[in-house]
Amino acid sequence: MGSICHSLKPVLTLLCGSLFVCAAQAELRPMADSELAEITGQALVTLDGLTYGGFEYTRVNLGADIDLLTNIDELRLGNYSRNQPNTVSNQPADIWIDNFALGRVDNANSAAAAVVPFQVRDPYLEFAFKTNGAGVREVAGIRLGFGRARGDLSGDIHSLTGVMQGLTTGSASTARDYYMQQNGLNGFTCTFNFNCLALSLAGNSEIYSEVQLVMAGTGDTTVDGQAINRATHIGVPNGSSFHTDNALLEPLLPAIASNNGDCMASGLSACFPLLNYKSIFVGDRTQADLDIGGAQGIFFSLQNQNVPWQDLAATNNQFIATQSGAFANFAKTGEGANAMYPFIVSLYEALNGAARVPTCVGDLSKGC
Amino acid sequence: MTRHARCIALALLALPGLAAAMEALDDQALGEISGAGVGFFLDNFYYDQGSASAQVSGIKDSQGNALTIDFERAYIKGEGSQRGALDSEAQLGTPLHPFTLKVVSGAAAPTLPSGTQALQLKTPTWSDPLNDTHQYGLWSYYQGCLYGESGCTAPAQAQTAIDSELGGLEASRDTILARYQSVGFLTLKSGIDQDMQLVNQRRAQVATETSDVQGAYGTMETRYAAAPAWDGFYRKPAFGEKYGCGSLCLTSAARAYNSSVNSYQTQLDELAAAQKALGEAWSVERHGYSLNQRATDFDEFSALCGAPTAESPTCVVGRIQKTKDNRTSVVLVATTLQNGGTRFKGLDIGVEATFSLPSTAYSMDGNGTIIKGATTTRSDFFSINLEGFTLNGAYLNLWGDSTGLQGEASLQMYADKLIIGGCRVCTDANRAVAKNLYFDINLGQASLQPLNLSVLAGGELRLSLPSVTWDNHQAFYQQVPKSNISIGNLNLGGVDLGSQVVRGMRVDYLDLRTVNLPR
Repeated sequence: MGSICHSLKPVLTLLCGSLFVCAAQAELRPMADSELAEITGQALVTLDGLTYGGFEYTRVNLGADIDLLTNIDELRLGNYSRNQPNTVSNQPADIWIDNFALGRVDNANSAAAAVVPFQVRDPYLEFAFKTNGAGVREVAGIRLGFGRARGDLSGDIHSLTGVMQGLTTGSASTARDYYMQQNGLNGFTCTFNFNCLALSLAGNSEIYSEVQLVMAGTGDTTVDGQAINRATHIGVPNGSSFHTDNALLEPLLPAIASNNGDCMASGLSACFPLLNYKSIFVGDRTQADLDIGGAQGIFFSLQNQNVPWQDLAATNNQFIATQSGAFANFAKTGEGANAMYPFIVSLYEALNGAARVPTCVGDLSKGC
Repeated sequence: MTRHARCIALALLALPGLAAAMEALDDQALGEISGAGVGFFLDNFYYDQGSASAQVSGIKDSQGNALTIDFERAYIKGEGSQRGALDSEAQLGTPLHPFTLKVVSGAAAPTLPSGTQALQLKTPTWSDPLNDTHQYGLWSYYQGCLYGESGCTAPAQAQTAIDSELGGLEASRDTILARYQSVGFLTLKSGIDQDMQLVNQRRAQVATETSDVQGAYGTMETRYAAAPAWDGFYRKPAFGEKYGCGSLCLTSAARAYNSSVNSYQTQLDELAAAQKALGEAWSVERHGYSLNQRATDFDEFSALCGAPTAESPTCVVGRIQKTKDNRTSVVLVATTLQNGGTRFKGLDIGVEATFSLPSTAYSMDGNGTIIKGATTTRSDFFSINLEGFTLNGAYLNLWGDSTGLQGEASLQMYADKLIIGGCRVCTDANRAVAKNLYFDINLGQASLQPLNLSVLAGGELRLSLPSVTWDNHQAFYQQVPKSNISIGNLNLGGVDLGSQVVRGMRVDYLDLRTVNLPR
């Protein structure tokens, strides 16, 4: 440093000191109304506090509308050794998605390529605290969420922990055709197969079922009463069946289209690898208005225990139970006719897998 | 009120010529400087708020209730200060590695469009593997634990981790290569393109039928609302079911509704047929594999190795090559550490505050129903500490054009630890502790995707990145930098949750507008 520092020392010490001291000791004076009136302020951030179940929460909300297209090589959360009865795969992380993308590109491999962005409204960051037995207030969890979100979400989902509720819907005839294909039946032999015949009788009636993260091979959503983690499959849960609004067919479906713990419903696969779902649509595809078509309550969180996070999509003060580790919430909102699912796939997609929508311009579908 | 701030030397350096022997500049010499830029560094300083206090007010909750934040403590000190307890002197930059503020163009900012000059703020930049944030940050993610702590003295641990990852990627590549070895990848692609024509036709048909179903459903809803409670002997049916009088109903409204139910069913049938046809198109087989499988494999291979340009493709770009490049950095850092190399010391930064905020109590009643209770004011202690914080190699370029303020930014931040606490008297076992925290955030690229900052008429801020286009997509994907965020290990309240990473993120399009809250 030598001589320059020595010679500058008084000046610079004064400079530094004045910067700090001036900031601290300058006299603060209230602004007059007329001065305030000239200022256009932005309340970008609000903070919310709440308590529930012994937890204290502090949420920082950011007021923003965000449209984006993003491609991410790898998203991996909760990457640690885990060996519990409810850990249903040998995947290394609670959440592991390769080639993750938000948004899509229409006409991707042509001069007419057009970005269709993913829409996000009012992201927030929230902390959960809990006072332990020794009276110490500990950090229990952190979550990042979105007030509303809508658009295409793509990725190679190797592992997922949390809630992912979707609706698969389609025609009974689609199920019948797939069943015939899988079982080597034709129109004639189908009539001698109970399941195939039942589906034939259902004709083109719409059938649907809620799908959730499940354990491969069984469709279990819990093990020993604990929610599963590191799921690799999604499907019709063990004990659930397809439904229909056809009053005549509905009583039949539990008998012919239930998953009875073998991941089969009506002879059809009822559990599907998450890797087959390469793109899903978050929100209501038919409602471009984010206020109406945006899915609520979506979040990613990390917690050290079963932290109940407030369900911001619910109107009846609900909290979403999570488990220690990383957690993603893509839950439905509302019930019955008012239910809005984070994604809806047609039955043929459920049976055959949902192809990835292009997320890159050019001939690469992913990995750009 | 007491406040401690110590500043031994802040040197302002004229650029270039930083390495020359330094002498004090007199006024005449200063007058000859023509804006080539300045370099500066802060040497042997620390800042401690001491017992001074500061309060922030004006922030509200979502209901409009006011809250306050009292900052009780803040400090910036040298690494090893034990969260500010010791007055360790800090250093921001050195004479050879100063912060610089200057006007740049040409080779100094190669991404700038020709003829454009930008104002550039750049943090100290090192090229050696331990002080280059990118290389060290990359290594720290794979290492997981904080080097030097108990149980974390083998820097090659990171090498083992990245070798394992690379092995997995290469195994995936080899599986796909073996699957289509006899076919050839150009032939594979040609078949996919041919079969996709049918898929695209049928996708369009599904979209049309979906729209028709929605239209028919809307009509059914409208007519149901207008339908009478009774039509002769027939009571108004449930929505979606028909009056028993079919097409012979007495009222036109009932007949119209019945007709709309028929139309809706017809549209559903057509949609089902279109979906089935689309499913069949995806199932078309060549070489023993469905189109769905072939397209998936081809996409996967392209992501791993780049788009094939030969029947027997090479693997010189893509994720595998990127991981190999990363491995080179990881090995270099590990080797340097094994040879006794050390990092330039970073900063310790901390803030402690008390939040007084309205808090609503929720509780479950005896029926299992969650009840919203009273809102009272809660007082929360909150602390954030960073240890070993560095910002080496970051820059911000700003310039203006007809569309307003443009920029490109690269944030290169690393910290040994980020500690977030909610307790005054406690240990890290009660806090959130993120070790080996690395932020490599790149926003904008001057030529291909300049970051645009503007203020809208209502005072809202707008930040946008133009979209990748057909015309620029090849250059865009080669030159617009990706971002990475990683944590070697996250511990919450004494529970290890392992590493967390968002890797290889590129924002291909962004339009962010701030909005007043509450809406």
